[in-house]
Amino acid sequence: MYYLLNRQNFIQPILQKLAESYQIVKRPLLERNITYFDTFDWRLYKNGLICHQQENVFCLSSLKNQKVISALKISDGKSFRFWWDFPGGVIQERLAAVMDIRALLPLLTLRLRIKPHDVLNEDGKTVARIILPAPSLKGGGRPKPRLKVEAIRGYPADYRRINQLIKELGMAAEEQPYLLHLFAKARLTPGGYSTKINIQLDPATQAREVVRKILLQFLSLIKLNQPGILEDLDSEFLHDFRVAIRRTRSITGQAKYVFPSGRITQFRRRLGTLQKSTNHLRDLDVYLLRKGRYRSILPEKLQSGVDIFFKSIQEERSREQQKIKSLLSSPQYLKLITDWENYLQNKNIPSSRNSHIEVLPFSQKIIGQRLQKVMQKGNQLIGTKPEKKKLHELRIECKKLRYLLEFFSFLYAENKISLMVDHLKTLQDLLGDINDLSIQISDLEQKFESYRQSPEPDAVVLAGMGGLLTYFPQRQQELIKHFQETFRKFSSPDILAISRELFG
Amino acid sequence: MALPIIAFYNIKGGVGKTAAVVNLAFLASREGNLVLLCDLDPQGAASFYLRIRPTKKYRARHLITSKGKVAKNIKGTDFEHLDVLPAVLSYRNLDILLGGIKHSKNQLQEVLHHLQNEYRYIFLDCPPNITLVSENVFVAANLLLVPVIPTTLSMLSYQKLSNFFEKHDYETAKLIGFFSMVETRKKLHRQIISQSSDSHLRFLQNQIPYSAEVERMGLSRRPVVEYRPHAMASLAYERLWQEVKAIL
Repeated sequence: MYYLLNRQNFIQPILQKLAESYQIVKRPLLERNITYFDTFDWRLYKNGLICHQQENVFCLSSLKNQKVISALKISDGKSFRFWWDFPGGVIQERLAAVMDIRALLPLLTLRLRIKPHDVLNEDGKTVARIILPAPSLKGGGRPKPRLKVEAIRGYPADYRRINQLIKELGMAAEEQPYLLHLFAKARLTPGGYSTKINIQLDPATQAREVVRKILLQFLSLIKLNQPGILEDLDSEFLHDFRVAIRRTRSITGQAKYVFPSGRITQFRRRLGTLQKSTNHLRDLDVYLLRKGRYRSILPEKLQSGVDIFFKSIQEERSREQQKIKSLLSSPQYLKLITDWENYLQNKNIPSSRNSHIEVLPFSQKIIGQRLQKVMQKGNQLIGTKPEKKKLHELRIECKKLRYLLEFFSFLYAENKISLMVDHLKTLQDLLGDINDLSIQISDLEQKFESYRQSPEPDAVVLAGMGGLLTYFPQRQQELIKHFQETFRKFSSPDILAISRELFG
Repeated sequence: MALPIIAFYNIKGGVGKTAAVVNLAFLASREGNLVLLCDLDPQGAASFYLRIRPTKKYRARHLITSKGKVAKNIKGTDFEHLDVLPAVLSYRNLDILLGGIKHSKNQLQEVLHHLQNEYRYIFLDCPPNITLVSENVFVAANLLLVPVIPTTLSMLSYQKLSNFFEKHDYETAKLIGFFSMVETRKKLHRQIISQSSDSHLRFLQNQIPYSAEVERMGLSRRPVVEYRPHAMASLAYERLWQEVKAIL
């Protein structure tokens, strides 16, 4: 059982009280460092887990009751970043389920000077231990000390009695996980990172005010993810960074005349250039994330070809990462971010046509128009064998619509808007997969050609690539067959009725 | 390999068996492994050395009939990672109890099987004499360590045990002796040890010397390797443990 003490010297009355019934023996002082980990977006915390490393033991526990789920002895110098770096077992399994492709990053390191006391019975046998660490945080901060009564197996009566004696002094057993106290002391907000828009404003708020707030949230996401890209922690930093830029460009393009169009066009262009320069690194990341899938498509004999091919992709990625690192440290990049921030913070920007209209009718209008475009483009493809190019155009329209629905969702009934979003998402997933395959096919064809013409092409690599190039078009055709049915579901009378109700 | 179960056994008593099991179990636990020492000897010397008294309601029949009760009666020692299943006086009736049930030689193995997820090593301190209890140990243990004082009688009892194993089809490969309470100033001890290499009986390389320190464990009630780590006997236990680990 744990007790949060307000000060270190609160231990004295406890020891005195216990000494009335037991013999208390002081043990040598111990020093320990404990480092806590989570992903950047708090996936462990959000799933009720904690993981920490103390000396050479890595431990996964439940956040709620702090019970150890599994512990792992680590050999010297070994470190773990992704779930697949862990040896197979409970820890790997549990982490895989929540971490996906994110890296485990150190959150805080707690330094403990521990004063243990043994509690002995009349036989001189230790029946429990009182452990009181003096904690401090690496990098500053003094959390409250936390006293632990450690049970010894086979002595439950003494354990109960000792806790009873402590409670008689007016102490209450710890209710909240200690980690939350540590987070507060380290100025961390658990679960604080999200890519979702979080806005609650009156529907009568002026359109510019709402758009400004949305854009500031995207800017903050851009800034938050930049360090992780520089340090190359995992591929999701770049992904979230790019999504924030894309959304910024999407809303500035769709919410026309909320800001004067001249400046906005300039910013959209500059952000577009930035986005484009990160395309290649993202493509390589996507490739590397697909390695397992590519291997599984091919027969065992050709899998080594995939490995050789991916080694070259990995090398190319390292070079590209360096380029992006210098780009994001360049004065041009920093100037773009500062200019954009200053612009959004500036309250004296001249009005435009849509600046002052209320956000509800404004959003109804632009969502309604976008929806109409999606329906038009989609319906044109019904009853035909859809061309890939047309499917791609529809995909872009759907993405624009999806963003609008997300940006302005706070204005509408949640159950209705999420029903629409769910159907749209299914359609988008299908269109996304079809498009992904197009990109992979053309990319792989190029890579195949250049590899074939390299000085000493490996036959197994060529055969492996050939295998993938046979598989992908087949798979794409299969997916295209599902288009009609998926689009019909999205444009069903139910969904249309909801959209009329919400957007007129 | 499954959970290593290491038994210390000799038909003859007073050969330094309990001192060896307590010290080796402690050494195993000090490496950070969770270790259980089962004290199967009704005299309860191992439990006594570690200051453990059995729970009042714990009975010998629980060892055979109620697997859950066994886990409940395990007690933590003063040392991290080292637990003890204490002996009770009623273990003297274990044979009678075992005699009355089917598959009477596999009972202990089954009980220990239930504990295999909890511990990295299990050590057994066994009562002397060949009884049904000992035969349970022969089945359950992966390694049967036989402490032998280098005397004619002690060698004879190890020989008898080896014969018993062969006759009853127990795995003789499990059986391995080590010289205990060795006094090199005694000519007989030296002689027997040197002759042992010609015998077909297997012995570990390392020996445990006779030591007053070890005898004092009854007073200090702690493993000698813990409170006198540099004593001759402690260093010998340490070497013995390293050798045992290598065999496992």
